[in-house]
Amino acid sequence: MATIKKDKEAELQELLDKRQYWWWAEQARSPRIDYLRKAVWSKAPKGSAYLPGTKICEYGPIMYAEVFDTYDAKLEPYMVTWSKALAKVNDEMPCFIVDQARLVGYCGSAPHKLFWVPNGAYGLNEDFFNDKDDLVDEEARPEVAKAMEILKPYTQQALTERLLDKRMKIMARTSQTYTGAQHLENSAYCTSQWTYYNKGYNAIIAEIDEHLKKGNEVLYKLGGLPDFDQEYHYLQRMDNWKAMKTTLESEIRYAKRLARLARIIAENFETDPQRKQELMDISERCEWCPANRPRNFAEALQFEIIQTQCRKREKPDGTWPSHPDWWFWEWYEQDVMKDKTITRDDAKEYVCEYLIRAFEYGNCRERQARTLTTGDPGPYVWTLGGMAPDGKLTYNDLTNLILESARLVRVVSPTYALRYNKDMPKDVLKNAFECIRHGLGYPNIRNDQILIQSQMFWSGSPLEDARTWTAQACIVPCPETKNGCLPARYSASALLGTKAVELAIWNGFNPVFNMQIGPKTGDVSEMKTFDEFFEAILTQFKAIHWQAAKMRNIGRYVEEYMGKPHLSATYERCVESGLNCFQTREYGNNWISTYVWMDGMDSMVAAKKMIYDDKKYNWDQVKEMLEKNWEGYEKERMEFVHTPKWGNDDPYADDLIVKMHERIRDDVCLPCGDWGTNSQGCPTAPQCVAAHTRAGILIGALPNGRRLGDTCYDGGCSPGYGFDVKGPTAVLQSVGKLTHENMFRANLLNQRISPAQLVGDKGFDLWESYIRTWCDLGINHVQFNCVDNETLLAAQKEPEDYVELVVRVAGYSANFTTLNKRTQDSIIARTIQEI
Amino acid sequence: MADQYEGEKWFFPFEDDPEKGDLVERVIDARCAYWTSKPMNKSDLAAGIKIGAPVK
Repeated sequence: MATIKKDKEAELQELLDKRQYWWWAEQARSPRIDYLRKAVWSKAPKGSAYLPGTKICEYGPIMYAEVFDTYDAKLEPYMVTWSKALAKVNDEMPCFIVDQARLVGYCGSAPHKLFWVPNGAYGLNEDFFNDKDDLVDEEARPEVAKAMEILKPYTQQALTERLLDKRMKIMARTSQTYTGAQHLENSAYCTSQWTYYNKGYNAIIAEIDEHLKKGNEVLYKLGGLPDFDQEYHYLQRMDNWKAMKTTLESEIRYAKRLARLARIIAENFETDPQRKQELMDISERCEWCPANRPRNFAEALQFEIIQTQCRKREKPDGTWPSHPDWWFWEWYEQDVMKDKTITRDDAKEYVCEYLIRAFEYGNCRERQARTLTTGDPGPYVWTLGGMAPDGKLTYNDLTNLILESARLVRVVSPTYALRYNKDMPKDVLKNAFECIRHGLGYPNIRNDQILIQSQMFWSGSPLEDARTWTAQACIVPCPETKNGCLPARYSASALLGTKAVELAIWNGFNPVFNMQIGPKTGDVSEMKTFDEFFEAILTQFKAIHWQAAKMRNIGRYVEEYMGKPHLSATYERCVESGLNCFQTREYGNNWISTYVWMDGMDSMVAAKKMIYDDKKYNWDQVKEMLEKNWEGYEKERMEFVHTPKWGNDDPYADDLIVKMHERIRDDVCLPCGDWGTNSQGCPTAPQCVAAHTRAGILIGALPNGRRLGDTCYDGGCSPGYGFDVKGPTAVLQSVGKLTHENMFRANLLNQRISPAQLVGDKGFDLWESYIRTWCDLGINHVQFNCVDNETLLAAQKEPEDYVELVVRVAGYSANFTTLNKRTQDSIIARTIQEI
Repeated sequence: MADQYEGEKWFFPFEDDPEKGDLVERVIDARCAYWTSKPMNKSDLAAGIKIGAPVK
């Protein structure tokens, strides 16, 4: 027996030595986790198509339509009807339990089906229905078609388009400037207030009942003194509380349905005593949670699965906010470290399964959004560690356990944001590094102190609130406190930043789509000074950013009308105040994502150098070359390529780019009026998920040497591919010149590092020293790809051998083989930095 | 486990209302095996659906 164990250990070590981490994971994990990992249906799209076999769950539209097509729905507030639709789904849609699973609950009706939230975008509904891959089961099509017709006027898209002008509608749909809008994407962002709702839904319902009781007295008590202000107060709130209650009660019933199914299997079909007991344990957990506060670690995980999956039936989150090492620590500490009721290894099994259950979920999002996150069903960026409200650095053994589990299951979502502090425990940092060394591309490293300051600057959060931040989206943080929690991000009306430079060159005319979409900032050939060109770029950017912000504000108004019963019921201040989650607005968390940006900045620098300083070309010549997409001008193009570029610690380029960021903050972002009572402005958040590949065909030729169709730079402040020629420290020096506390909401830096250089303890020491420099320079974010080109090229050639090979794209990770060729090539093209 | 039940269905009545219950089915798809249940009225059951537990 000892020899077998030794052989196994030697085999595992050999795989690690060869850096074949995906095969190591397969061998190192338990048979249960290996089964569940391979059994899970990934909902990650490839390009914009779902993987073969994936279907869309027809119950969403059919059951929602049954509720919305009633007399009551015409009378009641939207949120009440919505809560009834959710209750119908929770009560009647099939539920299931996969063999060997100990944690249960899923958004859809079967493992291969995405849940279809049908009141978001009617365009998405039509797209699903007509998809070439037959996403909707044949026998359900007539009923679904009827449901879509009923629901169309109740969709967020229809309700929003009623309020948008023609220009906005066109811009949202053509994707020339915006990459969509929330009413088209069917997606939103939220933070979770686990510290509130973990008390159990019964306790929240009891609070709601108290409010309803008071309201009933004020409104209906015989002999009560009339008081219009009081009555008005309760009339505005009673329906909200009722909707919250209806939703929570139905989610408790949904959990009990899972409990009953587990019991039926155990009592009637299962013959293996161990599995029987596991099923009875599942049953007990689901009977108890989420109705009541969890009593142990497994119940805490089970509670959160049910809460999240039910939330996603209300609206697909663009992400999945979580801070698991903080949230579940008290149960872990009790069970594993104090009472020792489960071992650390057993806890790891639960965490591995929890990660697989999370990965199983997939967003029902429109085609363009799917392309933007190609290869990833989420993305879900969970947060780890950080500084607690009392100023204490809070990392624990669960932080380590989660990172260890991540290496075993190798799912591309959830990924992690590690809140880095220089004095954080070294074992946690080593563990994070180990994940990066295993090629997972996560965790991304976030500068805790910078992001706390950024939260306070933009949102006006008190220090204690800001210190609880958790990633609300790929890179933007949000507190998880009573007042800090927020229901949505509206960067769905994101914009293509580089487009501002293109529009400045063409006087507001978009040469790719042949439309005048920007203001007329003047013929660039007439601009005698660089400053005029600089101001034109700023004006174009302002027009785009403000237009996107206005669309988003209109969108928020519509969402306030619709309400969100589940999200409201799980926010303390909503239950306390009776307002829905969109009506509460103490601390805003607003931003507009700037997809694709540094190409434009390098183009601005190239124009200054070649046209205004060296006077080698004039604008007429440059415009002619751009118009011809540089065809016939390769020699000239290379001259532009070799102008100073971002990422080389070159003051010529960096100073100009920093100045543009300052002006954007001061002239564009800060004046923006938004809804947060204490917040200010509407910042940018430069990053790009996979927009850098998609935008290649949306942005024309530019003075940095790009041609229409070329893949854009990735990240938000990453240098262009191959342009960062002076090494990693020069990249950090450039990026560190930006003021990350207040120039934007957050910004994304992709780096690729050499796996060969990072072996052993020496590799960690090198990396840690790099991270300390990064931190000293005040940069808010960095993430790494640590896979060599040999492996990536081999995976392109024989994808079936590299199914679990993971890479970092931008803001999310993806299985390399599920990416389209263009995105794969863009990752291979990134500069490998020797640190 | 229980692969002999693939594709079979059973109706398990609710304790408090035997006219309603869960239709339980064993499914094996391309990736995984699972049990699924859906609430329904006894009167809507297709012919041949077994009521209660299988004969062990």
